[in-house]
Amino acid sequence: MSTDYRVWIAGILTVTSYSLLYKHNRFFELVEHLYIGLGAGYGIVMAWSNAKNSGLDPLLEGKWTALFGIVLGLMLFLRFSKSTKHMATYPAAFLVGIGSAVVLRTSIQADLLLQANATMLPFVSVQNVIIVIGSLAGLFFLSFTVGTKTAGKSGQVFSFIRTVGRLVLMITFGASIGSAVQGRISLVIGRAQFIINEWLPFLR
Amino acid sequence: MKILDKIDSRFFYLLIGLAIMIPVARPIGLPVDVTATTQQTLDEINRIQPGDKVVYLYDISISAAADVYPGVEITFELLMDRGAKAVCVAFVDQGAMFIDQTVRKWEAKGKVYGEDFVDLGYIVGGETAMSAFARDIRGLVSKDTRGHSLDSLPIMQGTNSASDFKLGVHSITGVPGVEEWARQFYVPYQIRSIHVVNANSITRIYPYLQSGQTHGMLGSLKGAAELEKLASKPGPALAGMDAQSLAHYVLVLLMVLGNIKYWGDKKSKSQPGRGA
Repeated sequence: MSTDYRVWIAGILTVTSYSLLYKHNRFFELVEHLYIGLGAGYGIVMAWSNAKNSGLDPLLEGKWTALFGIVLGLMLFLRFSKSTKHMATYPAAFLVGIGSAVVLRTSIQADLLLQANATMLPFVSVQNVIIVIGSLAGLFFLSFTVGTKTAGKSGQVFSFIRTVGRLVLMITFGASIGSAVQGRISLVIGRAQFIINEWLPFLR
Repeated sequence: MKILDKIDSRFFYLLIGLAIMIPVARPIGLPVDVTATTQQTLDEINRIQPGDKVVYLYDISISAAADVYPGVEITFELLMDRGAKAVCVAFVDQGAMFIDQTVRKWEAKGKVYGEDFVDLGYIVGGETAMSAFARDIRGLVSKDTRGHSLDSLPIMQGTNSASDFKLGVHSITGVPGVEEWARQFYVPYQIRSIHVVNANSITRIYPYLQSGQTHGMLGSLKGAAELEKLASKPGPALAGMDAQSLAHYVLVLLMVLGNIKYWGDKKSKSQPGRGA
């Protein structure tokens, strides 16, 4: 059994967190609030440390350009007053503009051209056939210009492609759910390893 | 099937809990297959020569760390074994504490801070900060988390932008993720990379692997276990695989039972004079 008080605190908090599965209780609420509080506190410390390192310190070292960022950052707080609220939209506009520019600069190549290129494959393996047909059918399922009730032969073809597309999407969602379950189990395994290997090794 | 109605849901929690706790306490040694993406990850690490610089992004949060951190540990260990120099940085605030944890562990093992690795901490700004970091590291960061000027650290000599790195390792649990990596590191600088990801992010990585914008993936605890097995370095991930497998068997069984009950109820409702 561990003699480290920090391990005991972590162990007790872990068991208390899982006590929710038995019944909602005040101890669980306490841990929940503790977690949120610690997260918020950590966030504030990191934010201050960043403001200091990338704003105040360079300014004190004589980098006057840092003043521009500091002023814009402080202007964001003007939104808390009705009379100055509009002033906060200027730094927000900077943030949105710069953020969009940074993303759009390479987005077309990373998220569209290279992705599309990767789906143009020769039909030399089953995997390639699945990728090409799956991509096309999935895209077709998400095109809404062709009516779902188009009459005649073309209607039947559209309907078939849509069905294939829907199946592809459902398989993708199934894989996502499977991965999510795997992830949740991994989190419990992490805690179980902590309890058994570090906190209460006599359980081994 | 009426018996299923009477079972308290807490019984299922207990069942899954036992399926996890028992194999953690008493490992069974179920086999672990190695997937192609893990082999690719090891191949990328094996391309590293002593002295090559690697940028290691710790974009992970505490809530999913148990799923990702074993993968971080084994990749970092293999990089250190290859003699890589790791520049560690986080664009998620909680990632900074994991850098600290890794760095302290390797200092205790005899590696030298400032020569073998450096902790640049958390940089606020998400994708915009990633872009600025990749273009000009010193324009964004002037000191490491211990207050050393970057110019005073041997590892940072000649390290100015993303182009100076042989490999990028991006550990992620959400955003920033592979999309941000591809846009800010791969497309402009063509850096090869591997992604150490939580289970929820696995399906997001495949299109980028397929399009060659990342070159390896360790998915979840399972990916870490596979790499531990490939590298013959058994660790916490491999030890957790029995529990992972057993818990999944129990879940599959419960899903089958749930579906049988669902269809049974539906059938009895559709037959006149039967069911509720």
